[in-house]
Amino acid sequence: MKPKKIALTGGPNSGKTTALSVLKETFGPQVELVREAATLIFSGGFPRKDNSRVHIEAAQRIIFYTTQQMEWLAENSSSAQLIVCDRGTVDAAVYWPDGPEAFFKQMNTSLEAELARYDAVLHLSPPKNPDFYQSTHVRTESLDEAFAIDDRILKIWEKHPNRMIIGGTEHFFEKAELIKNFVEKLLK
Amino acid sequence: MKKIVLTGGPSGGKTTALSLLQETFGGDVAIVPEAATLIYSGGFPRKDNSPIHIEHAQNIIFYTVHQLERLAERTTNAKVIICDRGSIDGAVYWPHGPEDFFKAMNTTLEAELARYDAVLHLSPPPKKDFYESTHVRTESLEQAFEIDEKIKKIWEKHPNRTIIGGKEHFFEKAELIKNFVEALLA
Repeated sequence: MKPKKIALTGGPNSGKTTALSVLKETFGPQVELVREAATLIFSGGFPRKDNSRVHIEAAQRIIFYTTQQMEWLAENSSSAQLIVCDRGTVDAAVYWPDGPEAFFKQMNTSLEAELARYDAVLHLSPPKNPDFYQSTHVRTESLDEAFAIDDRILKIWEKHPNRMIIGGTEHFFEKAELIKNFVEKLLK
Repeated sequence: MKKIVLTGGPSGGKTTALSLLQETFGGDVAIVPEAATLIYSGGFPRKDNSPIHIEHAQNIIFYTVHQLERLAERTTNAKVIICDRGSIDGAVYWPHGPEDFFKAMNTTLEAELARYDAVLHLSPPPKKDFYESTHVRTESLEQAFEIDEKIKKIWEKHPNRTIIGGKEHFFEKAELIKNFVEALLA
C-alpha cells in the first residue's frame, strides 16, 4: 500500500519539531519523518551572507530540490504507513523574492502539482504569547516576522483539500492531542 | 574571473589549503564551500548508506554544487573562485558508475570538466599518523586512497590539472598551491 504523506508546516516556532518528536514517540515505526531541508541547508553552512536576493534564490532552489529528493528517498526506502514531512515543497514559495507565482514557474512546476504531493496538511501557528517564542541558531526572525510568515504560509496552502490548522492559542499539550488524533485518523 | 577546483581524496588537506588561500589572497579569492559537507553535516539521513540513500544524496550534492558556484559567480568581485570539490566528484560515489551518473544528471563528463579553468588535486598523506577522520568523514586510509585514485581518474581529461602528491610535507604542498593560484591571479 502506498503510504500517506502529510506536510507539517506553519510559521517559525510553532512547535513543528516538537510535534514531530511526539509523533515519532507515539507511532514508532508506523511513521517515517522527512527532515526540514531548510534547516539542513542552513545549519550545514549555506553561505547566507547578507541574505541578498541572489542568496535567497540560490538557497530556496536548493531547499526545493532537497525537499523533493528527501521525500522520494523516504517513499522509496521506508515501509512506514505514514510519511510526515517537516515542511513541504510549497513552503519555499513564500520566501521567493518575486512572489509565489514566479517561484513555481522558476521551478518548472505549479502550485497545484505541489499541493497534490501531500495527502494532508497540518498547519501549526506560532504562540501568541511572546514569552513562549524561542529563537534558535538557525531561526533569525522576530515574533512579528514569525506571524507575517505564518500568514503567508497559511495563504499558500489554502487550496489544499485536507488541511487542519492548529492555532497559536492552544497550549502545546492540546496541540499535541489534536495532532495525534489527526494522524490516527489518517492511519485508519 | 577564473574558477578552479580543489579536489582529491579524503584528508588531502583541502580544507587547510582553502584557509591558507583565503588568508593569503583575501578578497582576491572567493571560496565555494563543499556541498557534500554541507548536506551531511546538516543532517542528511545516511542511514545504512544503501544505494538509494547514496543516489539521493548525490543528486542533492550535484544540484547544490551548481547552485553554490553560480551564487559565487554572481556575487563576488574576486579574481579567482576556488571550489571545494567540483560537480564531477559525485560520479565516483555513484553506485552505478560514472557513465550512469552523468546520464542521470542529464549532463556529460566533458560539459562538467569545462566548468573549471584549472584543477588542483591533493592526495591524502601516505603516513597513517597524518590521516584524520572527522565526524563527516567515515573512510579508512585504504579507502581514502581508493577514492583518491578514482577522483584522479575521473578528472584526468582536464587540460589544466596539477596533482600534488601525498609525499610532500604540508608546507611544501601549501607552497605549490600558493604558487599555482598566484600564477592564475597574475
